[in-house]
Amino acid sequence: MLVEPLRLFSFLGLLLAILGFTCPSGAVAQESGRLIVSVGAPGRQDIPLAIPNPKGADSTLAREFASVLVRDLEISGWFRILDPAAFLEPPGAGLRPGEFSFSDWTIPGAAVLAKTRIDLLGQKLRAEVWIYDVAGARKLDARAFSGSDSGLRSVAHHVANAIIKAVTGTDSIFNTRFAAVNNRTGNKEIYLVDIDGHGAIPVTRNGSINLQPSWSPDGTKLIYTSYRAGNPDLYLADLAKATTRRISARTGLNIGAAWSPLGNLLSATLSNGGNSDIFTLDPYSGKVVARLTTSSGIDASPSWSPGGSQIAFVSDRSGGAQIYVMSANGSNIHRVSFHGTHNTDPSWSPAGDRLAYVTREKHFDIITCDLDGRSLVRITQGQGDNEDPSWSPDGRYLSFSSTRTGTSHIWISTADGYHQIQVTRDKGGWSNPSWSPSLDW
Amino acid sequence: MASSVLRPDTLTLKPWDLLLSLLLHGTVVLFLLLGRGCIEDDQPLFDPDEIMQVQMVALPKARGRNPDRATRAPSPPPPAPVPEAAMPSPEPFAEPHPSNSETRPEEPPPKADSRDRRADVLRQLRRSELIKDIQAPLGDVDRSATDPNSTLSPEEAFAGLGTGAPMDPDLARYQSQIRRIVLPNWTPLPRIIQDNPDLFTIVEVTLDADGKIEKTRMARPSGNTSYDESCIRAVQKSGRLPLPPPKFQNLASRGIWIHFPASDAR
Repeated sequence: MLVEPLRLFSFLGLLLAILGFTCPSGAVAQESGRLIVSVGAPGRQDIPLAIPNPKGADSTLAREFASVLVRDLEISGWFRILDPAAFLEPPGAGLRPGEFSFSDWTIPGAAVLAKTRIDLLGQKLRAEVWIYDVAGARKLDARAFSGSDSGLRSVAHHVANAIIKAVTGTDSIFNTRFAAVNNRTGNKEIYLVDIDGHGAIPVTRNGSINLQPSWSPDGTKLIYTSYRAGNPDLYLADLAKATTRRISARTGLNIGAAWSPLGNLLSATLSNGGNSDIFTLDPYSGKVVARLTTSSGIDASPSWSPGGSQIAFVSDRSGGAQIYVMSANGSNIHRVSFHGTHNTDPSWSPAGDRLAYVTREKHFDIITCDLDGRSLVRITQGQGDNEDPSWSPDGRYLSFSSTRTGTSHIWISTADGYHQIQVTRDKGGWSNPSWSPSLDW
Repeated sequence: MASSVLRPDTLTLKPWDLLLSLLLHGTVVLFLLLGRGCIEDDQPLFDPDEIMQVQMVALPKARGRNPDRATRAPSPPPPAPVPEAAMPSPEPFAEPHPSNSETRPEEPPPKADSRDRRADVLRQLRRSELIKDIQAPLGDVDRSATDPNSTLSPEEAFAGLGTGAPMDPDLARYQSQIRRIVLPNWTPLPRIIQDNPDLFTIVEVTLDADGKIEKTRMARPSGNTSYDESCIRAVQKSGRLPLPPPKFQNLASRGIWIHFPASDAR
């Protein structure tokens, strides 16, 4: 009794299957009827940005303000600053919506328009910025900043941050600084310097050799190595209180200290007159908390992972200097770098996924890799000697010292190596840049 | 009962069984004929003999090289040994910068979204993926075709994208040419991409016989004016595009659809 319905069902199934195979390609073809190509996701094209001259009564002030602002935006690597000669907007146009026409900015090819105003009101500077999406004909943001009359550069840095935040949605770097070493006095002294290479403030002035500054996570203190007492010792500088004190003066090397992300520990290289190993220290008393390495080779240059659970360091235990990673208690040591015979100066990225380090080939160059030592990205190649990599707090940039212009200066590169710009240009050589966390001062 | 039905000697063919079979076979033959007529109008998409797999990658920009003047600074001279001294006095500092007060001019705009650490990490990961993509050599794998999470539309399936099927090599080459020309002109705002990674726009472009862009049309807007405008501008700014391979020119005469996905996930 069941045979007939089963046969009928199987015939119908066969029929539907045949129909299914014969029709779809034709149907899809009819649906589109166009040749289709995809450009893929957008790459890292520079965004065309128009910055008309700032409004304001004082033209000298406006020029200086514009100069700092444009330089910041160039350093950021996000933009292609459009030539003001191509601007069509009449001089009387204002800053606010309705006071100008977007069509004046589409022809020069602007994607973003940043209109600014700077005024000196008594002893105070006041800057205003209006940021527009030209293609969308809409305001992205508007901000005003004020500061003392001597704080023009600082105000301009804040405006640059506001523009970058409005366009990219991410915080930028102009509320950070470098602690770095300069030899303009004939000695190696530590300075704080703005991200654009200006506004250097001395931290040490002891006529000796001061090296390897490292920021505390809250940006209020520096730890560094100084030979001021004849031996490489560790010193703690409290930037808010303007005090300095020595925290580790053990026999032999006291060098290469790095703050843990929580700020409660330092990792540093101590030799105690013998082989150099990595220890954790109390950052205020200098007391040894733990000895992390015990190999017969040299262990140095510790760099904490952002979570504080691991430390990257350099060791020659396998022969040449190579990058290793260990747990923060000294266990689970494993080698990371296998490319090249001499790799030093590891610096852990803020996202925790990459390490930057220096590799020596013909010259010293900066390379980044993932935590397995793979996915190598070459940041520099054969452009003089490039050393001392340090990540920006957002992980978008790396700073390093480079001798590519003849003198050692601080350079910034985007983490992919594409956009590189020289930051310091002044007298004397710069080295050992250490990128601060975001600062509110 | 069932076992007797399945025995060959018990199987009997009734007349209406034969009739039904003939009817259904006739229908199948009819559909095959009609179906053949229906798909004959279209150009063949793939020549199986020519199939190869390719990966679309953006070529990295050439890096500017500065003159290489290796002038590695000599190591600092070792300091003369000095007996351990008393702690030095505090060293000079300039005054910390006064913090700038920040206000908003009138008509305060909505505050930008606060982003947590997770968002930053995700952005970093996306970026590192992009970096890997850019750096990948011209390989032998069609990434879109092998993406297990691909959710591309039927139109893309038509072009061989994201279907798991290899793309026609001529089409792959053509896509690469278009990409090289259009991508540098495409500058959507990063904030829009970050906030809306699913944006997707299709711009239709018509070329004249020399490849000059005759007409552009928004075939499928994303709904974000700024993003859509950036796509249209990218095509218009290109001015001229290469002509499609001969076997696709008939199809292209009806228009070329250029896809603009905000992220590779699309």
